[in-house]
Amino acid sequence: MLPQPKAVASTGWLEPEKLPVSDPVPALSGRRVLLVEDEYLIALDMEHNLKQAGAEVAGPVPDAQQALALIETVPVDAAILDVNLRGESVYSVADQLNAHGIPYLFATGEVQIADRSDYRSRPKLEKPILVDELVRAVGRLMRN
Amino acid sequence: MAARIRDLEWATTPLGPIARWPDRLKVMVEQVLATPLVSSLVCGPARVLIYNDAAARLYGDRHPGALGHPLPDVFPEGWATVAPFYERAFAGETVQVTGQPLDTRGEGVRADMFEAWLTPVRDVEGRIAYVHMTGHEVGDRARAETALRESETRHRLLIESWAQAVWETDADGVVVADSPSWRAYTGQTLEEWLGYGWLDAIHPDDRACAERKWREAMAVRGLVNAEFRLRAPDGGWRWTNVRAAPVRDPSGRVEKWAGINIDIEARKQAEAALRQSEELRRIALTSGRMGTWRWDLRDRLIWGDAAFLDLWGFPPSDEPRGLADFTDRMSPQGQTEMGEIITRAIAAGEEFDGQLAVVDGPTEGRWVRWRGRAERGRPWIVNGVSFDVTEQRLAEERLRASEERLRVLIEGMPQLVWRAVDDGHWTWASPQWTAYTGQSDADSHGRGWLEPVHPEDREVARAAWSRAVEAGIFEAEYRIHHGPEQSYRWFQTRAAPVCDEAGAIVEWLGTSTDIDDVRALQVRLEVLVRELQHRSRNLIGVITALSNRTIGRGSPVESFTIRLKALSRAQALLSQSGSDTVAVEALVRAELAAHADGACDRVTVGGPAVMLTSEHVQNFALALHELATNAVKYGALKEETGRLSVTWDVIQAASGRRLALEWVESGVDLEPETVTRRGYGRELIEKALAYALGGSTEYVLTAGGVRCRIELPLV
Repeated sequence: MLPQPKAVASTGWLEPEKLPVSDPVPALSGRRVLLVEDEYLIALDMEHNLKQAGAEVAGPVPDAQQALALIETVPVDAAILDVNLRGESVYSVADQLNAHGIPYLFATGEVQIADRSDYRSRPKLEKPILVDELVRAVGRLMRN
Repeated sequence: MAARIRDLEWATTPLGPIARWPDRLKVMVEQVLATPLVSSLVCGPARVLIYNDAAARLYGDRHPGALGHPLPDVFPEGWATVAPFYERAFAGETVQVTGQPLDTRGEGVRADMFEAWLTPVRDVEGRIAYVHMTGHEVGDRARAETALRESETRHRLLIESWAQAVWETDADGVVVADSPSWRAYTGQTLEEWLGYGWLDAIHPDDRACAERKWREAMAVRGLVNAEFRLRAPDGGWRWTNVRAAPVRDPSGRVEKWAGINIDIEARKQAEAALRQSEELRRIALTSGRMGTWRWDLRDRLIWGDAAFLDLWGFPPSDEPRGLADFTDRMSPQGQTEMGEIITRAIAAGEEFDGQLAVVDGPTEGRWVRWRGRAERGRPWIVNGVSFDVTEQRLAEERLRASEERLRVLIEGMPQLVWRAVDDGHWTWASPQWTAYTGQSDADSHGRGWLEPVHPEDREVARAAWSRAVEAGIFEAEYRIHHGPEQSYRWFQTRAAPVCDEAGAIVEWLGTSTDIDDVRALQVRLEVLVRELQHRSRNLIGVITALSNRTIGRGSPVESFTIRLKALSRAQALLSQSGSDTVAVEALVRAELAAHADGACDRVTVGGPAVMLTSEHVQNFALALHELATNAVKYGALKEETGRLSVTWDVIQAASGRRLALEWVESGVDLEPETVTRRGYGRELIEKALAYALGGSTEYVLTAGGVRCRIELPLV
């Protein structure tokens, strides 16, 4: 959907560590991850990082409507959800993922996750999100 | 009396007719009649009585019936007493009778005591035929002597009851006789007492004076009345009052001096105490500025002591002052009051109590309270006291002012104020409470105030009260119904106990403060803080992404920092506006100013006022930034010949209102390599707006330069 960036290892200055070079097989190899994030630059960056880790990315999409449509059309192994999408919340997407038994995590700048135990029990990554952190968390999602 | 004897019908008596009386009887009768003493003749066994005028006077109403009658018949009551004497006399004995009371009925005279001689008188045959009595009254003398004895006894008792010493001196004032009472009173021995030794018992300071007074009295034979201190047996000194008087014989010569000492120690001490208390009172009056006065309403003169005159700023004087002197220094109100008093009738004992302001003279500004009472007998005389009450009035005024300020404060403060006792039983609610809740003060009393409290919060309020006494403070937040708006608002309610001197809680004074707006603000703030968190974290995410896409992929650092600056400008505009929106024109001009400050004359900017929200601003600003830097590097802003026109408008599309912005460059000689360039900048322009904002971008390169049309949906 978006121009394919060149395969360059992430050198984000917030993340001085490089991906472990000792791991020859990318961590998320062969998995498709849905990415819901309304901020274009962030979405682009995360997409890049996920692909670097071997994942296929469904999206990124900036709103719940597009995300819901995507879930119904593309098989997804896991999802990364920004909570606040231009003032609209992502919980409808979460519920849909739940219904499909697809694991997900929240990647958010929000302080609070809606007061519902099934949301609260989900992993939560707080922005800004480090590359390593993201990849590990998504990997854990699918192992469980 | 001789005539009565002659005329009596003696024939019917045991003595028979006078003609047949023996000569001896006749001689004895003549003798009885001749004596000035009380005299009588008792004759024969029948004891027939013949008596003279002096006796007749004593016999009272028994005379003249007693003449010629038997003595026992005449004095039936007294006969038993005198019969033995007569028996003895008739037996030949001369009998002396002393101090015998006789039953006599003499008019005007009480001769009930009698002293007499009974003398037997023999007839010619030598038989005792008669008893001759001569006597004299002793009643007056006996009574006088008895009275004297009794009087002396009474005096002695009297004197002894309040005199501590009783004594006598000789005519020259020299002590020659013992006085046990003196010795007991002073502790002096007899030797010390005799002569002039008594002087030694007198206090040295009083001795000369006592001796002088004594000698003066001696000289004039007058009474002595002096007070001095006398030694007491315990060695101390006691005040004594000595009184002495000369005792004269019948010829008037001073026979001796009699004196007594009366102990006056208690009186002296009382006098000293009184003097002291009077002195204290005088000091109190002076220092308390309390003056006493007397006001004669008839001539309107006022006599006052120094303190009184001082109150009105006058010097001390014994002379009275006219009322006008005082009214001249009074406020008009005081003058009116005085005028009213002197023109109306004053009742006996009428009391006055007033306060007068001094408005002139040295004591100007002072307040004088005066209390007086008209005399009962002379109601035109009013006696009284006056004192300065300025400080008191000032204090009262300050208190009143303070209470008024407090009232204004309480009623003026926005809080609902109330008072309560025990655990939350209200006794008073301020007007604010009634105005806010619509509940009357009376209805709020007791637990009535709970009624306007939100039903869900009543337990909170009750619980706070149950904690309050122990905690010493009441604090709770609950909703109270706003009567006029029929809605609940949050109040913070606090109360503090008012304690008495012993520390016991007398009542609670409480305020309820409307914190509804504060609470709403708090909720809004929490939202804002969350939003801020969200935004700043997102922003850092964006910056991280920018960095990754530029520096991270080998682009020069400048390609990152220049975009960071563009982001900063957009953020700055957002925070400047304060409304979380930014005008399109402001964004455009800020971007152009940052890159082409000197090219204003070649740039046209124009469009209606359109506000973009914070969600738009970041990406829109980055897009403008990419367009502007591109124009500076390669386009209209690079060459002097280039022209740039940035215009916008709001258009109506099927999906709603949209902003349509045209970026049109002209006069640019495009270099071939730039035509095919599709870098990160162009990606940002074309993709970012579409992705994030649902916008659309048309970017074309024409012969004269870049033409870009951006459309964004407006909320």
